Amino acid sequence: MINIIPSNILRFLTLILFQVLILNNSNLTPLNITPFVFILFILLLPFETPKWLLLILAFIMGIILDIFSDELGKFSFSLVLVAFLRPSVLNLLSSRDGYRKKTLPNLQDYGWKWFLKYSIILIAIHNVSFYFLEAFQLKYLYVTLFKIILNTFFTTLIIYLIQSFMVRNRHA
Amino acid sequence: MQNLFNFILRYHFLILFILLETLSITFIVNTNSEKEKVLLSSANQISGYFYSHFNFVAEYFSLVEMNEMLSKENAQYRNSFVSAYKANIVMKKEVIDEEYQQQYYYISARVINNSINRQHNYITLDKGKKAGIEVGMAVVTGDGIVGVVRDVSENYASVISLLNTKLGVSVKLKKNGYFGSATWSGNDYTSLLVKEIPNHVPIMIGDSIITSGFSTIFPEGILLGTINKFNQEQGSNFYNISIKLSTNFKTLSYVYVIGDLLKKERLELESVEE
Repeated sequence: MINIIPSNILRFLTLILFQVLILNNSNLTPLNITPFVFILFILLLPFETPKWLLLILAFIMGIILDIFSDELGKFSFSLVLVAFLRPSVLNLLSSRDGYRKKTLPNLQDYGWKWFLKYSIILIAIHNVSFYFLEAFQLKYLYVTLFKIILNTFFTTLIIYLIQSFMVRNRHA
Repeated sequence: MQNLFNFILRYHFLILFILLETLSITFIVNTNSEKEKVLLSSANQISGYFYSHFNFVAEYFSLVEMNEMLSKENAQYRNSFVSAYKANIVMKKEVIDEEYQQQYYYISARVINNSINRQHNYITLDKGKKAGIEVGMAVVTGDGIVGVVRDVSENYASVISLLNTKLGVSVKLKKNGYFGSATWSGNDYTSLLVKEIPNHVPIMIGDSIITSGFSTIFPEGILLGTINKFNQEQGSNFYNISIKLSTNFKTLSYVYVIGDLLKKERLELESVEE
């Protein structure tokens, strides 16, 4: 339990650095899509995190990402929305006996089926909000929808890979 | 009072959510207000500092393209050296100073942040006020134009990329001088849309599009790209032209910022009419 705070701070910083320095680099990403791997931070916060803290953390992360993308508001709006809906999504996906104590919402504790459902829903929410805010009109509806689907796919894929890599590391 | 307190305590999650989202929305809506500019330019200071110190990570991935581009540019400069030409002229003409007056000067800068996958893309440069960069200056590479300086801090400059739906550039056809305006469609980072060229003008695929020099930002005659597609919309007197950009925005690394020594004079003259 004591480990949770430093490990989350570390994850916060690593994910932001990874996003800003490597993923945002336009030379790397195929098809012009930047996967939004930073959402993993919100996904992996413990079940017991106070709801208000969820919102505050999401907002801080969003503002930092906004600063690095030269326009304020888009990431912070989308991430706060994700943080707001996370408790409801967790409720929706919980099994009959709810979530066990001392577990985290991750691949290791709840299996790939649950984790994929959980991450796809929240990533899709983020992407719908982000890309519609970016387009700000319905003129490019198909392009926007295409971007949302493609990005959700890639982001989920990378987040899943990171998670499965961590599971294997822990077992070894 | 007790009731209000209870209400806040009970709905604190919803209230905080609405508060933070309203804040975000105001950020998005006020992108061009003065307040926002101040906020962004101080934010720019932070991200600029960060990028200039950690840019080596990103640069590592584009070393190959960067080398290629620099060597190409080197070759271009070598070609323009006096030593690359054989002198055929024997007669020497006296040059009077007044005949040529320097109008444009170039400041070289490094791109420390660049994006191509948003609707509004911006570029950050590692030079700012100290190097003489001002708001409204043009940014180009050896290949073509890149954008316009939007904001400067002491050591950094933020540039509106040509790949930004907010930016329009006055352009013309190189072969016959008909002019129009070029904007980005927001999707493809290799192409640009040119409008307002009347449909009686003969054009062909492969024609060069250059800057017109009508605005005080870009000098005349800088290449934007070549026509790769065009069609006539029914009921419209103008072409829909799509051009292939000559600048590769995906591998941008070194750029030149162009200053205009006569800009002030021209603006003063043009504002007299009003």
